Amino acid sequence: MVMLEETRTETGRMILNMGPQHPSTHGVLRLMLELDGENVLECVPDIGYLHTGIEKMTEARNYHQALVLTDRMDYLAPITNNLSYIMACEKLFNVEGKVPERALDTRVVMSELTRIASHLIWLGTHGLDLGAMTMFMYCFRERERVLEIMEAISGVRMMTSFMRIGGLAADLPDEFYGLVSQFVDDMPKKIDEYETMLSRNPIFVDRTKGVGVINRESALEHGFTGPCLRASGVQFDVRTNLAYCGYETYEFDVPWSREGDVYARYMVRMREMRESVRIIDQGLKRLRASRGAPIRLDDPRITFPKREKIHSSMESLIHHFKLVSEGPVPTPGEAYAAVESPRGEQATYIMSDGSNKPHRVRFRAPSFYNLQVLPQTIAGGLVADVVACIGSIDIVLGEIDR
Amino acid sequence: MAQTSAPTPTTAVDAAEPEAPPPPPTDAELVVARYPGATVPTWRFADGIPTVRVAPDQICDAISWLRHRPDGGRRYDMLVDVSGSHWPERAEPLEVTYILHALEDSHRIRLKVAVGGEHPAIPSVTGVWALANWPEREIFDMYGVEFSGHPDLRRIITPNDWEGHPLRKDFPLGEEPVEFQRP
Repeated sequence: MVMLEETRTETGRMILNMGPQHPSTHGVLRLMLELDGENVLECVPDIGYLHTGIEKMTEARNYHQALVLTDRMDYLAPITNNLSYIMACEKLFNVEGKVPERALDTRVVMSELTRIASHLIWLGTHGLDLGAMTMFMYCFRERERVLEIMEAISGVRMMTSFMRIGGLAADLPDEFYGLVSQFVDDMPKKIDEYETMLSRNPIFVDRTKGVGVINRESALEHGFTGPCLRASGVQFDVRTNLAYCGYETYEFDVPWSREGDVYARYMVRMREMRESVRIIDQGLKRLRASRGAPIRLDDPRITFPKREKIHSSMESLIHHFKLVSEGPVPTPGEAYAAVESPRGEQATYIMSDGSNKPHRVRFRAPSFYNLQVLPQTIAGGLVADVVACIGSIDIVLGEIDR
Repeated sequence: MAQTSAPTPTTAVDAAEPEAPPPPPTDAELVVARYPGATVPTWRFADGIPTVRVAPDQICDAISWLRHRPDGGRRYDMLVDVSGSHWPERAEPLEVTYILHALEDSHRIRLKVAVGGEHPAIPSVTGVWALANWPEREIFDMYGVEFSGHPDLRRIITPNDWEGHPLRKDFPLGEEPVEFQRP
């Protein structure tokens, strides 16, 4: 962190501190802007205000306990964080590929629901930043419905921690199917509604087209992933390129664009929401068909035995006791597992020394790398564009600082 | 490495079994052959990403070679992640891991560098790939690894006046005294 003594440099340029308590920085991001009039000459992001030591804390917890910490990083898309952590654990415990089909389908549906919820927050706040205040109300209205579905599934609206090593915490409740199918029916119309408000709105288009352009080479050089990278003309999506949880069996397109400006990122995310609805629709059909199928691997080393069995079988009681007191123990090694979070490649990299606690857990936060590109997008622009650029990159500080 | 002519034994009188051509060397094998001192660690990598451990002074060249591939092989277009880890019981306790991704066939490779000593230092790869800037600062902050040649090596997550490197194993987890007592 840099402290500034002078707000005006000797050339008459002004240093402006934006944040860490600024509504359009979407959290506690601080930007130091060097201005020449309205023009931004340089932008230096300063992060770390939300550091909570999650990576350190996971080293003091066993593999089941560390799961709840992952929700707290990217708090707008906790499911994808859970998923990458759980997938890394499954690789480490050698149970990848043994997870029941129904659990995988549920993971896919929940990931896509959380993607829509996260994109809705992005759209609402991005609109708010650029003066379209109604968007915020509309987007939060639909996001509420996703949170209701999450609440029906897990009992918690945001920090669900619903995934487990080898499957899920519980089976889906009966009301899930109705809620989701209604959501799938309504959502495309709602996205149309958003698009009529923004896509051809002259104020919005003027403030986003040609602003914050990042070309393909620069995006790869400085570390974009996710919708931002795809808006710069790179067709890379972890869901298709390194398919996980059976994404390869779903039919969906990966939207992309060549322009690389704020408007292109907006368009990519809008189309991505439609594709997510398509995936949810397919997943829901599979989940309807597989009702009653197992949702968790039955491996006494890793997964908890059924409640009834604990009361009737001595072995189950022992396994339960071992899992609660010691936790699952993997063989030494390391595993890197990546998922496509709403912001890009979110990955968990676990290193184990063969004890019941991870030796090291690294979370690859997409926002951390995406934010690094921000100075490139802003340089040479106007102060007002800074807000548009931050919004279009869609950062979550909880994940950047971890 | 497309072979233009494939002379197979046409006089197949005594050729009992047409021998399958040896598989082309993988990128990991090429890196091992190219850089003396590079090894494949005998460690379990449960994710199946090929891994090579290279000497610290070769890391920039190795990453640059993999990125540009002057031999025409598979190009790694993305540096996905740079991360650190601390293994106090090893001879070279601090380890930095680079994961690279090739867009053409979604292949990945992982490079590892380990250092030890009083002032652990690794050449910075920011000259090869600008995105290494922040992750290297994070490793410097969390593990105290110096990246020589880094343009802006400051702490990034913790405050500038922070003492110690939080993710090292000898750094205590930390507890605050609680003012309440159990009744």
